[in-house]
Amino acid sequence: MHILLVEDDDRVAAALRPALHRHGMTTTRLSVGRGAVDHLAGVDVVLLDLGLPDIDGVDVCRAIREVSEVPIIVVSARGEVDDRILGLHSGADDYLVKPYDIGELVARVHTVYRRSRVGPSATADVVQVADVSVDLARHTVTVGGVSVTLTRKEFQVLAMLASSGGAVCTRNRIVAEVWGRTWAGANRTLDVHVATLRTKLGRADLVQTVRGVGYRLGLPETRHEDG
Amino acid sequence: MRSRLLLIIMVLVGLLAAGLGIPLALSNAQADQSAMFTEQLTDTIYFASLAERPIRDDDPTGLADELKRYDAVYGVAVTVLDRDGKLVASSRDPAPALDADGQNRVALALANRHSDPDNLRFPWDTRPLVLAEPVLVDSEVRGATVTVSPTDDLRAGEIRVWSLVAAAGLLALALAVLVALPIVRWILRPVHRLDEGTGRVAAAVLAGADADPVADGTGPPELRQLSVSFDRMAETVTQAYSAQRTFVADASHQLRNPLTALRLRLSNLDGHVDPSGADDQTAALEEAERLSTLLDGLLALARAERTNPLVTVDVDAGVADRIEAWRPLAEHTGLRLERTGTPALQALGPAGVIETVLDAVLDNAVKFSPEGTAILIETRECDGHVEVAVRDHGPGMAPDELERATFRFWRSPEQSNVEGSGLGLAIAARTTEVAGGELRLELPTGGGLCVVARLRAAGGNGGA
Repeated sequence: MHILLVEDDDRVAAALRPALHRHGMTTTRLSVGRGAVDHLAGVDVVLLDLGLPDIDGVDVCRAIREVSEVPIIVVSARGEVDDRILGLHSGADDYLVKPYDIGELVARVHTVYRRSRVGPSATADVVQVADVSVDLARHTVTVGGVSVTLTRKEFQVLAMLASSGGAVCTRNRIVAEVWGRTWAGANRTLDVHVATLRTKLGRADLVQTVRGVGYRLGLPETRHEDG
Repeated sequence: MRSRLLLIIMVLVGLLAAGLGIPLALSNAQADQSAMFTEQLTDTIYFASLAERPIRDDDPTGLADELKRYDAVYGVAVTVLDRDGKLVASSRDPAPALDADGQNRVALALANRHSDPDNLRFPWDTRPLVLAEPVLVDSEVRGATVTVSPTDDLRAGEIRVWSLVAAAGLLALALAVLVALPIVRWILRPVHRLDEGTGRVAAAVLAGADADPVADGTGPPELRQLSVSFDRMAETVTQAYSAQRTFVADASHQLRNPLTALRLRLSNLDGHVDPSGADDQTAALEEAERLSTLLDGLLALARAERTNPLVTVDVDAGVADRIEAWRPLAEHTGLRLERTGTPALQALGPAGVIETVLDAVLDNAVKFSPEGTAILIETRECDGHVEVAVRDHGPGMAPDELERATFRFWRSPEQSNVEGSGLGLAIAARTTEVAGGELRLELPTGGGLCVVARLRAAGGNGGA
């Protein structure tokens, strides 16, 4: 997978490139926004910083969107709601606030890449892991054929992990998507939900903790699916 | 100040009017009175000489007729007495009685002395004017003529003149008010503008906007100078405040790139770290995470110190939302969240104020409350304000810590190692303060801590 990295901060770029390479990606880096549209050939995903020295990242985003359908992930220091909305409206596929976790960045890169290749409705309706079956459309979960009752939030957490296909979901992302906002007790609340999930499902290994980052679904047979 | 200035001007003008008007009225009355006295004296002397012959001849028949004719024309009673004070002739029958003053004058006349002019008579003095003159026959006192004239005309004249003077005085006062009002307004205009300006500056500073200048070049020079100085001060304050806020926001943003690089570098060490150093690497990642939480808190604080437009906030919705969000965590640690108090209250505040405050307060309450206790969330209305009180049964605080607890980065000495940025209560306090409310910490009887957020009530609270 080839990544176009538009980032003006040399030290961030220098730290990020080896990290992406370790996850099997190749990179091209631009330190300015001008000319980004000329480097789109062969690019699978664009990582775009909004705070560029020459032109506003939002304009770069629009310019790319005019000529290409390549997935764009905006990576910005500005994380206020208005900034996110502006970024997403100008054609970005996802929005990540600095400082981010490399695991989350890689997971999102894979997600937007996959979505761009197979179209938006390709997510399976039912995710099957060993004897646990999660029906995303009907909001039901069965373990060994026996139905398990989950609260709405518990199901949403499980569904999110299930549809990420074994990739790490960071705490921030789970909280943001399941609860719609973050607050002081969010992380601890998430931990409580995960603990309840493990108890209710009776499969302690199904939801795995990635220390300091977040959670992922333990899928031994699909773990190295992505190249 | 306006009414005082007016009062001072009125008193001055009033004194002036009184100082001029009263002597004028008095001297006018005095002049009228002495004119009447002189006239009456002339007539009395005339009758005294007229009475000479009848007294000498002891034949008063013609004299009485003369006196009656005069009385009929002028309304002045004239009486002629002999040397012993016995009646010789009178224009009226019976002769008018004399008061002590009149008898005194008769006695003087019989002693061949003349009547002195009266003291000034006031309009309410109804005594008639009594004059007595000696009747001299060959330079010898043989009797006296007494005239008793009513003073009605004189007094009516006095009242008329005095009323005119009083009216003129009042007119002067009214004119003074007309002239003084614009002057007072001119003097006070800069003061009013300063007063309004103070309120505007406070609002503008919080909103991060420039305050409208107060000085408009009118008013007395000293006050004009004061207005200009005030504008300079307001500008400095606004700039300082906005610079501080911008600095916090900028610093939070600018620190994000180095922090991103740091986190990436630490992640890149994955798999290259000696197993004995793995814990350190994880801890370093957690520190980076903590730093990033702190930056988020600082940004939130910078946002809280900016006034957002005040809207009507549904207290119930905010409270219910936050209770739902915190319930799993509370129940996990064996705490009960209980809601009591008045429902359906509406408060004034920036959007989300209830949620922000409850998050900060419940965070502490859930962290510090011992297992099995209850956290009570009470909503109530009192004198135009809405209060949301959160009471826990945790360790509480020392009384001297209550005030400092809302300072940024304050942590209870016993809890300094518990996770958190130390900004939660500061953000909650600032959010309520810029909305015109306050956040207050109390030590309720029975232990624990009670945090009360007080906001202005929005109009139209049903029922109360």
